[in-house]
Amino acid sequence: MKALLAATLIAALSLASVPPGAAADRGMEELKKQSAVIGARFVKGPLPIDPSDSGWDGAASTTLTLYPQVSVTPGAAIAPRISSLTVRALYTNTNVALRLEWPDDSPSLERGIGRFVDAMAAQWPAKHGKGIALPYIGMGEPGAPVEIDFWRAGGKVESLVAEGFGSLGPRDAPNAEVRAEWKDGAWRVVIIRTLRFPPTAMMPVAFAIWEGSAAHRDGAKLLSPWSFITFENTAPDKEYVHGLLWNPRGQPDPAKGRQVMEEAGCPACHAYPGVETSNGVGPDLTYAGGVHHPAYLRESIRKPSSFIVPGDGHATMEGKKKVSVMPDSGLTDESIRRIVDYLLTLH
Amino acid sequence: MSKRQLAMVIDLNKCLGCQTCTMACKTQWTNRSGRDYMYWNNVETAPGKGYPKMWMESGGGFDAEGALNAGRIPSLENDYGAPFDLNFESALGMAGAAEQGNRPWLRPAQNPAYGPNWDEDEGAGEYPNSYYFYLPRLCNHCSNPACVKACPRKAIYKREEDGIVLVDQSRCRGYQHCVAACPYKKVFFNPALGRSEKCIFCYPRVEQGTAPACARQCPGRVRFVGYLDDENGPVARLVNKHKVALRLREDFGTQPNVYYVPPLSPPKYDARGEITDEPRIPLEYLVKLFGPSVPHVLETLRTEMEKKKTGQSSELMDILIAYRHEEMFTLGAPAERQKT
Repeated sequence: MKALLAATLIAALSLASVPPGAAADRGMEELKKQSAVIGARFVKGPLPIDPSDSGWDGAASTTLTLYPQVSVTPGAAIAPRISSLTVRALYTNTNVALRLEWPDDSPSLERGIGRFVDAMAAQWPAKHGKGIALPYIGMGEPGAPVEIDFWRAGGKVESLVAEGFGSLGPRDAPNAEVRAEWKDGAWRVVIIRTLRFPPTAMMPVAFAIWEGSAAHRDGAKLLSPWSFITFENTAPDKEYVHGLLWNPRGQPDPAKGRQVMEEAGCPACHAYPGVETSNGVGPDLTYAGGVHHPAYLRESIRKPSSFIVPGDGHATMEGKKKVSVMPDSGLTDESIRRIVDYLLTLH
Repeated sequence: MSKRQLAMVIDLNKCLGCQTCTMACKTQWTNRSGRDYMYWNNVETAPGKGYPKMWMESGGGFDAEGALNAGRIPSLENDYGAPFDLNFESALGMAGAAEQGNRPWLRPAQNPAYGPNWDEDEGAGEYPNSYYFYLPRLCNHCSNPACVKACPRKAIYKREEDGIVLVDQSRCRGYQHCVAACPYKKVFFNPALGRSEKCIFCYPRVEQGTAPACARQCPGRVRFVGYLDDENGPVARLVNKHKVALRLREDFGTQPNVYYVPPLSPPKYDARGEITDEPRIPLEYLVKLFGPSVPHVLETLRTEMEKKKTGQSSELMDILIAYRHEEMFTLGAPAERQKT
């Protein structure tokens, strides 16, 4: 009884902290154009772990596009295996629950020799907030770890942590629960995990799904870009939102960006729509704007060696330093901005 | 490349296909927990489909530039052969004892599509020139292992002290890239545990100075085991001094550390039944398996055999005869190993 009372008190306190209907922020509108924003609805009662629970009916749905992972090998085929993932979110003061739903006509349920099962993962930055760059979308990067809640058909949730491709390991304090159901041609998977209520009142999250029937496993997967969960009763921190925006004031000029790329010789190594001459050394950019956050795109053009995706042929050693095979472009910030404008149209 | 490298030499002229090695390995390592279909060691009839079926055409290994070739994951039913039970009860059990005359034949309860040793002794060629030999196979503990290269998790590693290649079970997540990448198809996925497994060169035995079970149990004294840098050991003498031990399919590019003394064969008969100069096993087949030095090695073997026959001494023949089984293994005592 005492515990219940305490919980109610905490709920009441945090509810009071932000007046509902805070002035609509233009930054939030801009962010919604740029990234998927998943609105979580506050519930008092326990969060529904059952994917069929009627409690999910009240949650708004957001649809994300998933793209084939092509930055590291082995990756997924670039062919148009793009899926949509519908996400709903509920939260209490201590936990957040997500229900992921995606179409799948023939579920792959049994793992075997040369047989792979359907799987799903939600990825969370270990640290986020004002002034903290989002980790690399592909399982984080050294110094910027991500927490991963991984579920595979027929298995239990695995609580994992990673600092880049190939570094996946178990997490010390597992804090997630998953229940999945395949029905009527679709998977519905619920994840509940503890929520350290973020001071910025917005949580970055990304998702991946593996289609067993396409022999997906490992890096062969479909990937969402970083998306953001907002919380019904708490307005996101304006500065934080603003820091995530690309080019909030300027006019994007993708046509100019494409022209700059041609002049700078990008098509020699990167394939993207209309390019047929690429040697395949650099990652395929067909979905670059869909998968990557604009800040990452800008950084990777400005300082190609600041983060190098693991894999053969991506880097050379200069003494003890790993240097990206992508040359420093020497482009002006203005030109780089235009290139990002163009890349963002590739999704 | 490891600091030291253990290697095995298998003398194909002495292997008689008894499968004692296969069973020694199986009872030691693979008769339980999802491993029943696996044969870390197998003996197949060559020429033949092998185990798993057509492994030699299953891809993997490296191309001329050193990049991994695409490989295929074999199927349980069609390539490895799914384990099956026999109808012991109806054929031999007590229940039907009264109807002795009407018992069914002893046979598999499920119809198998393939299995290890499926085409035993079939070989090739037309009578009276038909031929085959036995080819024992295990993980080659390669110096350039394709499985290691293919694993994005770096779950497979090569031990510094002896070059044994092992799958770290705590890092493996069951992606099976290694299964496809090994051109010898000697990495296996354990469907019960969800991880890859393979021959461990009996490292717990080796660490005690005892040879791997397949080698120690061989009644034909076919297998030598030792370090390649141990110049006085039989392995190094066969590989480096006498140069009669050759790698299987070296063209796969993995630098295997299991070596084979290629098989001599009796001569062919011509149409009138007269003996010819041509060997029964076609040279080009042996060259495909063991490389261009096969003719030279076979010539060396014949010359040395002749010496022995005529009462001259032959160091090579003395090694290959293996008068004392324990002299085939130079692993060092456990204490000696620790110093290295």
